[in-house]
Amino acid sequence: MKRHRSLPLLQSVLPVAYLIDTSSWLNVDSRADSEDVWRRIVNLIEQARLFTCAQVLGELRESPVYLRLKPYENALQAGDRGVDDIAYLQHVGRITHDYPSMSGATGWRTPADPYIVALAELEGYVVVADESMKRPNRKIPGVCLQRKIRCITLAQFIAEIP
Amino acid sequence: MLPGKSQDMPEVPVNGKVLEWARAIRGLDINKAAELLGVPPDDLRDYESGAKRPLVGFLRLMSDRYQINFTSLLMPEPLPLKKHPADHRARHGERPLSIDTLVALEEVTEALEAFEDIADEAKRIVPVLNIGTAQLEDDPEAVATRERRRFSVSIEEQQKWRSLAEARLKWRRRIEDRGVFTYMIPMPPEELSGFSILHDTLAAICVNDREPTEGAKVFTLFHEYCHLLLHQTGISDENNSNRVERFCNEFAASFLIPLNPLLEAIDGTATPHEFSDADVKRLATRFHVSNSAIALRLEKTGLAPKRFYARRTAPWDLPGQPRTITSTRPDYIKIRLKRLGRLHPATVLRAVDRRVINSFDASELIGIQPGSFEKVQAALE
Repeated sequence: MKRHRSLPLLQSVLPVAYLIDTSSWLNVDSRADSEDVWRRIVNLIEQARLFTCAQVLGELRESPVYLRLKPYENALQAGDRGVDDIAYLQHVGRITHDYPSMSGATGWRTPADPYIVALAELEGYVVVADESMKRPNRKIPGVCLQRKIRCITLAQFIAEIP
Repeated sequence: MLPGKSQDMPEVPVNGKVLEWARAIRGLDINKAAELLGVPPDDLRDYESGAKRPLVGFLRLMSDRYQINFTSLLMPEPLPLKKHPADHRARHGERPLSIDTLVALEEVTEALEAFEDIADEAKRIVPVLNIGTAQLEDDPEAVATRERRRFSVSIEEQQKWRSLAEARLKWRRRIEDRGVFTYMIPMPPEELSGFSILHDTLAAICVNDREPTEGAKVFTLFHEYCHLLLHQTGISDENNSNRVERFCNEFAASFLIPLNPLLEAIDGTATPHEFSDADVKRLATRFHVSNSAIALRLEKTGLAPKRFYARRTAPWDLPGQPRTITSTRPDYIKIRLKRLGRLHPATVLRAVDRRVINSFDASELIGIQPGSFEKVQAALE
């Protein structure tokens, strides 16, 4: 079942939910405490407080981390909006237009980044992304900062989850 | 059922001007685009005018066939059209650039932008550009002599190479040793020989991999290298009517065929001499260059009469016999390394090792899955 948090009132009363980007998923296994982190991640997934979008799962499909996520694929995408959600697609288009460098707007690939930003903005998620802040228009953390979306690193995420 | 159509798919209220923009930045006219999409041109006109709304599936098809980001088709407004690199071509007039060339330009530009990001994050991952400079007022022969010294390749070493293919590999590596990224991407041969891009301190050369011979590709490598020296980069067809192209042609010929070794090779022949086809081929084999490069060089040095190059080159540089097709599958890593050169994947893998980029970004940049990175590393060693 999809979890809808779009209404600002709901966002203020629901517990914080996180949206994890490819860059952070890929860093989980390189941590010394990765098994403990995975246990806490699974716990959050089961509480419907941790999501990712289909495009991120697509980017991870050839990576070992995907094997970890596969059993929870449906739960992870429960907070996603489908490809038939026109309002969502239009918002992804707006993000692409406003941040063409991050989105690779004239390129031939379709990165997950504008989907992450659009979904977090619509649903009130906290974004978890391990990307640089050095070129603010090219990476998720800089764009989130400009759009007042809370964005934290994997290390900050781990520090704040039970 | 129309391409990309499914009964469950919703229509998307896109801005038709964005669809028109996407077609324009890929150099497609309405008929060519409609053909790619498998729809009548009038249908495409309807989508672009807003008279008809596309289904999500049709937009995905458009993204695939136009080789453009799907989310760009959802933008509320088109982006300003990017300025293309300078166009130095004259051979085929104002021939518009094809989708293959425009995507190649995009690929190389994106790579340089990624390397700029990496260079911002950490030092000593992206190589420092180490080439000279030149001006159109300079003597291309003198510039070539100076640059040749920088490369430290003796004429003896050059002549020891066994084939044009080996010459191409060796020269390409030497150019990369100077911090220049090199690419070999197939593009329409009648459209361009190659292009070069200079982004602040990063430089790239792209050779058209559909040029007819290895000798032509070697010549283009140095022709484009000269564009970098001049800081006059752009799209080339190696014509002799454009001043920049002519300079770069003369540089490439002088670099690859230095004067003194050429004089030794013609062995006291009274000049100017109307060299035969066999003479030209013998000299080309000796220097591992194309026949046309030798012809140009003989004329420019006064060793052959005026208009020798124009009179004699046309039938010479024909492609070799196609290779026998074997049943073994082509090695994908080798194919990628031919396209990307060595410097590009080596830089990307260094950035992964230093944890400046993640394995997904690296796999996007080199077009190879992370599970095969060790094989790429081994191929580079």
